[in-house]
Amino acid sequence: MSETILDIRGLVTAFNTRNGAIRAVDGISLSVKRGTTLGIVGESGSGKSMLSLSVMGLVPPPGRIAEGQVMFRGTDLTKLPPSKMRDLRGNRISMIFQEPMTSLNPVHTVGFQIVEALRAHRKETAARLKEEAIEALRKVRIPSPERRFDEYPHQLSGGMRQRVMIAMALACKPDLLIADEPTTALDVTIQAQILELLRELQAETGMAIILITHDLGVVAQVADEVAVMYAGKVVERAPVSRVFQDPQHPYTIGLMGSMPRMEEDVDRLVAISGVVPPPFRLPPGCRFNPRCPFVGSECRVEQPALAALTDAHAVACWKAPLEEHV
Amino acid sequence: MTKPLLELEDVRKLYPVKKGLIVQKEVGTVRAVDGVSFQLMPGETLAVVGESGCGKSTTARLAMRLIESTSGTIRYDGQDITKATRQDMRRLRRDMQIIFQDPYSSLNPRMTVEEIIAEPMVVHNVGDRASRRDRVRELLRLVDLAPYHADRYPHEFSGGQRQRIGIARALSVSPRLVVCDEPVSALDVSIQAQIVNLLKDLQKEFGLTYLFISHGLAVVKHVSDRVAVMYLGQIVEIADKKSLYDNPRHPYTQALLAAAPEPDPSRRTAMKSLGGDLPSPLSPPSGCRFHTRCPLAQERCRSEVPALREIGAGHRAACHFAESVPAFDRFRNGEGIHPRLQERLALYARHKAALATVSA
Repeated sequence: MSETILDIRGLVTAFNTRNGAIRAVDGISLSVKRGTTLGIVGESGSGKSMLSLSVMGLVPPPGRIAEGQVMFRGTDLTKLPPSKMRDLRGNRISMIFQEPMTSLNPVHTVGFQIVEALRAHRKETAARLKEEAIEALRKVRIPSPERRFDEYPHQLSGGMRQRVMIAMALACKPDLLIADEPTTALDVTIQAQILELLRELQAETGMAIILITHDLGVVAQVADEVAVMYAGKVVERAPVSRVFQDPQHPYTIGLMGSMPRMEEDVDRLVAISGVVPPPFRLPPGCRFNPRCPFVGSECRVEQPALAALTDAHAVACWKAPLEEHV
Repeated sequence: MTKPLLELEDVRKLYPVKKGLIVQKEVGTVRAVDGVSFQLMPGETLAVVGESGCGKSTTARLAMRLIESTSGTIRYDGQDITKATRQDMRRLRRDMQIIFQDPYSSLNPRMTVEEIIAEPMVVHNVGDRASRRDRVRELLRLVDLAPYHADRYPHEFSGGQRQRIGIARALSVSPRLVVCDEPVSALDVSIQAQIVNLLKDLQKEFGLTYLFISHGLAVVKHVSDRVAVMYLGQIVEIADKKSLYDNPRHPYTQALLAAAPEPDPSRRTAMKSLGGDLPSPLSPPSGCRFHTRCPLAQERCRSEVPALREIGAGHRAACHFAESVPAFDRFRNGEGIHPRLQERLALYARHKAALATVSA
């Protein structure tokens, strides 16, 4: 049994607004083991990015972690003082973002930026740090890393920039990498390269990855476990093969149906009607009920808890298991 | 024999690159679109697919003459529009409308939805105030919005709803040709499907002709009749949807198909990635432009430019070895959607339909 790297327990991230307290992340429990990838799927407004910022201790004010724990290798990150958190961030836990252009500083060379990340956590000579940075660039398969070290972000293509971001994130050999839509801004052929790279690097280093995406195809390709989020809650969690063969939550099924597929000729996509509700206007009962084709009276009254269907498969739906109830 | 509604013949758009502050010297040319030809039949959907920088959006804008071409002929309904006067063009544009990618920047935030949708009618002098009002209400219903939405402002709507407003605006003057420039790329998955379905319904109802620009081959498979694949300003393959997906003959088309992540965890090894980056359109590679990334490149590809030639009925590819390129078997090794998932999707669709009839 491999070590559990991250264990999120009942996490609530709340924002106090004029419309009352909004829970962007509302009671989420998830865990990820060494060497495995947890895919978090959800559309905009599902709270998936806020979840990752909560883990990183980077919730923007006035947001705050209101309840729950984030256990990272036995330490509760929500209780850590900022200075200790800073030691972990970029060192033991790293993050890569969607837009590689805006996350790199345009006025510094990429080499400088990687060295800067290393220097925050290590006391070494400049020459040694440079060597390590070049090694990090080589690791992410950047051709002629010695030359690239002195280049500026604008001299690199989108795919190369994302490689630099990954190099920076992995320079300190973290235990956990949080990748928030790492390939969304990239072209398909470049996306395939980056996903391949993440897979290889994980095999080499044994790091745990939390991959946040809205693309079920990406999840199918790289995740071991999948959590589907809707309006701040996890509605379904299962090993990747289960989710794609036996999705139980109506929202998951709807997402699968919404995906245009190349191997099938379907005249009409099975779309989900309606839109994700804003966090200050959540419906009573199950949050998906206004869009759900299986909706029943109980769904409009009480919120279903995430309950285990089998050992590894959990669903938050009154109608689960689906075929027995509809 | 029906006449094509839109026809591009060897259309080029070159942008000069200048250097120097006072005396500007031309130091090069970006060949954004470099000799593109295709025909678009009435009622048909032609999809133009490619990665960023391949010239697909430029092609769309050229087709509507929103930007001027450097050379080549563009015929709309048999008439060469590259030489049409401003007045003629204005009249023609009533017939050709465009839906943009980003519903956040393509709607004026200071106009109400009614003003936005009615604007093309005002510009083209269609109807009077009262009839336009009625038309806006009718259009809102068509795109599944409510009449009371007319008095609201764009910021009150979600991305999907804004895209519906953009579609209503495009349809307000009853165009024949609608250019869809990545209309769903900025939307969430569940909303994408709604908009794709809506576009298909509207096409059926009004016999619209679509020029559909997209970077993804999956969406295109759902909306198009024919597909053109572009690489560095040129069409490398164009064919009926069926022949393109079943038997892609250009290595780049195959690479695009292979790179799309497949929503099936049991088929992971199938993902093979293409090496390298897109070369700069400022100095495209010699010979075949794809040879720097092509796994099958040979000596001839480096020196000789392949012509876009017929290799089957309505199937054209620009590759010296189009006939001998190995068959692409991505879809043959699997059995498609898992039967269990298929049942689930059917169940979902049935319930959704039942619910819709109850509420109607």
